[in-house]
Amino acid sequence: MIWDAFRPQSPQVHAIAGLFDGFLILAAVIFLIVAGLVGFSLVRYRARAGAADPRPTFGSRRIEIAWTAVPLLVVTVIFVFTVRTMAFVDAPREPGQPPDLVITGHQWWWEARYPNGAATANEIHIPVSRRLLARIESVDVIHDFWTPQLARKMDAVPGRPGYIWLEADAPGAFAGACAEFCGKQHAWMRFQVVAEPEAEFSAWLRHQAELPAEPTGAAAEGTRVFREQKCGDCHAVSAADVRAAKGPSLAHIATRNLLGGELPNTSVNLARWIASPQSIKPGNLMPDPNLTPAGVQALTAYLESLR
Amino acid sequence: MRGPRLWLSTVDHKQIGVMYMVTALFFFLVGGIEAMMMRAQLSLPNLTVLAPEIYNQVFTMHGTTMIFLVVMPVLIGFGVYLVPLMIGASEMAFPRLNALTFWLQVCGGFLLYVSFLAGGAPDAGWFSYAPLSEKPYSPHPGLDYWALGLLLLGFGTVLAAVNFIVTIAAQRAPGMTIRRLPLFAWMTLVNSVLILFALPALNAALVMLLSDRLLQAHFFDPAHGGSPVLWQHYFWIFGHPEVYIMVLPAFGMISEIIPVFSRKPIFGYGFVAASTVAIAFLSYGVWVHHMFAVALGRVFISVFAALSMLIAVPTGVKIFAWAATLVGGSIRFTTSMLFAVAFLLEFTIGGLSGVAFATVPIDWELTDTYFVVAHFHYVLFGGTAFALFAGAYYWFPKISGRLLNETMGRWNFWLVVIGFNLTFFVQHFLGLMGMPRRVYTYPNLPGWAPLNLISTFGAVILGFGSLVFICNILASLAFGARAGNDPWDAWTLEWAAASPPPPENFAQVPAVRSRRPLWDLKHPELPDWAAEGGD
Amino acid sequence: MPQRVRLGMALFLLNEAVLFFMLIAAFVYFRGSTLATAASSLHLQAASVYTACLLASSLTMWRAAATGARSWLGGTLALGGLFLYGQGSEYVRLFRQHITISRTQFGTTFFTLTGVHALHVLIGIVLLAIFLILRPSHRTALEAIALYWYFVAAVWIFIFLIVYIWTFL
Repeated sequence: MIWDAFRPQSPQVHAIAGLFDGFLILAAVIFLIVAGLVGFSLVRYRARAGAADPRPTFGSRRIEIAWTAVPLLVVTVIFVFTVRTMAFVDAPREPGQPPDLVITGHQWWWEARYPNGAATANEIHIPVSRRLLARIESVDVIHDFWTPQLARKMDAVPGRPGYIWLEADAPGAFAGACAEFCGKQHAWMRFQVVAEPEAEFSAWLRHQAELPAEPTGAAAEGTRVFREQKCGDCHAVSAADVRAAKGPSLAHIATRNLLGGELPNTSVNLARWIASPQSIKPGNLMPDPNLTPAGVQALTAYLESLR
Repeated sequence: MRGPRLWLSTVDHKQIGVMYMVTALFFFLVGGIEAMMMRAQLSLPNLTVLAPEIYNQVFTMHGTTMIFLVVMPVLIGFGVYLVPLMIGASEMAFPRLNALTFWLQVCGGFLLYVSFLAGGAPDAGWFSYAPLSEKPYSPHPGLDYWALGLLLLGFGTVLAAVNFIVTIAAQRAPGMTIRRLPLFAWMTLVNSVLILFALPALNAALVMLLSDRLLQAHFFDPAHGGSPVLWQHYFWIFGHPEVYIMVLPAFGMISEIIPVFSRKPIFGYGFVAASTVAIAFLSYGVWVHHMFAVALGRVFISVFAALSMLIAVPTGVKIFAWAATLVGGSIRFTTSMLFAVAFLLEFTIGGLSGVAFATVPIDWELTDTYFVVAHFHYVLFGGTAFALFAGAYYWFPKISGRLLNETMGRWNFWLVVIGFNLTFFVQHFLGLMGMPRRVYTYPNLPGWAPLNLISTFGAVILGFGSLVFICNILASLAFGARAGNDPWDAWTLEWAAASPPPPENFAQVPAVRSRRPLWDLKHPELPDWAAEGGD
Repeated sequence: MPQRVRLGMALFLLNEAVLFFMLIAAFVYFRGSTLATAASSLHLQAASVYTACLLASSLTMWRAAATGARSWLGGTLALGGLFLYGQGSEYVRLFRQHITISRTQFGTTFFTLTGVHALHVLIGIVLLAIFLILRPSHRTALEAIALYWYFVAAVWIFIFLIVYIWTFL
């Protein structure tokens, strides 16, 4: 690794980074040849006072053929490495192999669903050192699912799903972003991929599919506000509820690290978001709800009870 | 030939050429202000200088303006002005058509910008990917203005291309064979053929998009059986040749300027011309490299990767030919030459980073990041715009009769070179660090803030450099030194005409017996037509 | 006609040919999902008749360009008008079956492709009408219009083959 481009954390991105290193060396050599030739000429052949024009020369077929043939050879080499790396990064999947998780782009958040029914938003968990097959979809415009350190980009084109291998070498939280311009909040269509040891991952997965606990105290008051405000029209509160998917699922939201793809998930931030989502993520599809401070507090308590 | 009425109704190729250039310069200022607005918003993380919907309109208009209202018209303008002079003609083949194409250009630009008053400018990017560009996701009429404006601009550009081809085919002076054609005319010719095949693909896509938006058709709407990927194919079948449409005439300018200031003919005229034709052919087989992140078949992608890499070869041939022209020369460092040499280096960087995007796995990491923004600005600013600065300093004396001021020229050059590289070189690193493009703001991740601030700082310098250029034009028009007919001791026919040329261009066209008719006149003892390889 | 006018017109038509190629390609791209509707709703016999009108109009156009006679010009205009009338009644027939540009994918591709072509025929008719009214002796203009007219008829042959014949094959 001559230079830590991409800071790879998966075999796939390691392979891409290796290819990039090779490319960078090649490009630097070519640039230095051109710049050297130009720089040398500028110094050596600058006009001397009173000098007559040099005797015209018109080219040399031999040299011209050489500088056509050599680059041809160079790109052929690049092409061979390209095809090899492509085959590694996009390793074929078993015929008919079902995806380990389905990631769906929405304006402007990411939904992830696992075969056991677990559903989450903007925070995707994977086990360390086991590759998962992720299907990338979109329900509205084109998005692009990109975790720079873990996997290649894959466009989420409505009606045309794509597949990537999602894998991490070590535990950690890896930032991701939507990479295809998708409208007003493209910039904050960010997410996190959390890689954790196999045992922790399966515990997480099992827990995410469970029904929420019955709310008590302030949280119970929050459920009333939740109903009044018709939050449930867009947001599901349990993984089993698959109807309300216009907005991010709130199932087990209190276990997540981030809110809205970027804010740390604290009571203060949650209350800020509930009070005025438009001031945090202007243009997002959730209208400001017009709640009393007490209403905000109750709703915050309710959401925080969704562990 | 004075007075506003005569400018409005003129069919003279020189006046029309000047009008093209002046309108392009105006829109360059507009597009530049849009760029400054973006750099202001992005100078630090989490700024709120521009609201997201405004930012999206501004970057859409910046791209559309710079491509369709600056680069294409200014290149057509130089062509309209210079091609008849270079081939020893008195006019374009169809002078009235020439005027029509210019005014179509003006109308197209007007339509694009009137959208600001009609409920908002287009906001889906210059590439307007469906379904984001469809009615449900972009309900205000901005995109309708965008599509209609581009249809007009596209139609006008096609007519200009027809005019160029017929002019070069039919109006050449006696002795000006196709193998003696100045390289700028050569590249304009190839460029026109490119336009003829590429622009109608865009026009077809625009007709389909307008059907979707105005008549509720479903070409690109997946909810009703349409295909968003179809838009991408159509757009890039136009869009990639378009990149070469924006750069080939600039190659032509460099191929005129470097030889004159090196005091040597171009190294390998045949290869330079032939590689242009190769680029034109290949440019229709590379469009899918804009879509490598879409789930397309691997074999399909590999074919387009191979062709995209292949196109680097004829481009490389040109760079080597220009560099080799310097070798053994007697180089004069005019501002024009400085820009031409800077072009060589900047464009090489842009060309090399382009190969990264043909290398599919690298594209999978870097596409739609700031690395792309850096790459194509090295091609379009470091390449085309630098060539245009070189061309402006070179041909301004012919057009106006006065030399541009060289002292201001140096300021212009160094501010632009420093500003440009500060602005865009750091964007390579931002891309490598994972900053997506087309974002109105970004999180404060390690390194992102300082690099963006440097970029904004560079943009301010670049802006000042461009203003120096405009000041130089205005000052030199009023006070510049008289140029005479041939200030650079050049060799192509335009320098045999008066500066500025009279309406009929030439009293008598010099005999053309080689590629450098004026060299033959000045050096009867050593004419090109007698030299091996000179013709 | 001067060589450069012929070349200029040919180049312009080349651009138009690419435009139609792209629109026809879009029709073919969606053919899988539109074929059933096309087969059940298009009227091959009627289309054959107005196709014949357009082809015949090329012949009268050729005579008009050769002789400059107003009668041949008038004939061309009439045949072109008949073609548009025929196509218009095809549209009405489809509308009665609730096939519009927005209701079905077939409508989207069919109306866009044939609509753009009809616009070209209409432009030809307008040009001919202007010519008839203003400058009946300007031969270069007439020959240029004739080139355009042959092109529009030739494009229709491709459209007819792909949209109609291929559907009912």
